[in-house]
Amino acid sequence: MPLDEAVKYVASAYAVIIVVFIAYLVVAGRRIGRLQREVQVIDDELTRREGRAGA
Amino acid sequence: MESATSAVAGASRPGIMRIGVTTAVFAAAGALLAIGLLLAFWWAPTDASAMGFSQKIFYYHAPIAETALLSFGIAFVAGILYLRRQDARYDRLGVAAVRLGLLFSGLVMATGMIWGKAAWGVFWAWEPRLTTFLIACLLYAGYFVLRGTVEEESRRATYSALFAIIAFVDVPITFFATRLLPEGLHPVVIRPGSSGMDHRDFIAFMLSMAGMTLLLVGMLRIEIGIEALREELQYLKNRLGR
Repeated sequence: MPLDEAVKYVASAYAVIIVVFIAYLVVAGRRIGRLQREVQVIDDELTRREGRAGA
Repeated sequence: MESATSAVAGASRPGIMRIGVTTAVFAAAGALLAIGLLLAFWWAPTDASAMGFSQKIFYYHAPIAETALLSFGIAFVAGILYLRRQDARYDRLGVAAVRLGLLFSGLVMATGMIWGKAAWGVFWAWEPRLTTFLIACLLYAGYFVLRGTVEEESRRATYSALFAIIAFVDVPITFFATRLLPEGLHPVVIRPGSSGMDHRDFIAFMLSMAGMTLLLVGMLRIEIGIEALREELQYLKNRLGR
């Protein structure tokens, strides 16, 4: 196979791999951030309620 | 004042991942993968066969394939451990491993199709390795269909563990397909007693393998952390009465 044609296949394969891994990290980071925010909101709410109940 | 979640800290509360360790694992994985790739392109010889330069796809394609199968192996072990100990941590590990196994399988199929087009002139061929890998993907996709149909947590975990154990039957078949049925198109790279590769190829390949395995470890930590956060959120919602 001519080199210029092979380069296209090799570049495509590595581009797919890099894009998928970067996309994974971005999506995972967003999922973690969203879940941590939700946990924090409910945790604060519970802490407030328990504080009121204890007072 | 003690927060509501710290007040419930204990065996029943899911663990939260340590970001520093995960970052270090990703950094090590990235370094190994980068060095492996540099060596593959600038040190390892270009394949003298008909494949020529397009053989360079192999240095990530094969490690991704091995990592996909390793993920399914982890799900298999997690399934056995869950059934023995009924510990939710193994269910979380199983889910994470299958999810990542599917991600790596998708990648290996995509890069394999590109390689197939370069090597054989077609994106897809119904030959043993490709067909058994496709069956594995479909089987493990069924794992999530199953999880979606069972609401009760412990039953869902038990069924998932059983499914992961049974589905693993396809993994050794996929791995040995090219060895047992050598008339297929897919090449056998590593044979018993010999890597079948130039030592420079072998070093670049092994570095990529190590990097990809570490990448899986980092991603598993992320996925397990997400599952733990999800469970913590559900626990807090239940306490709040939502």
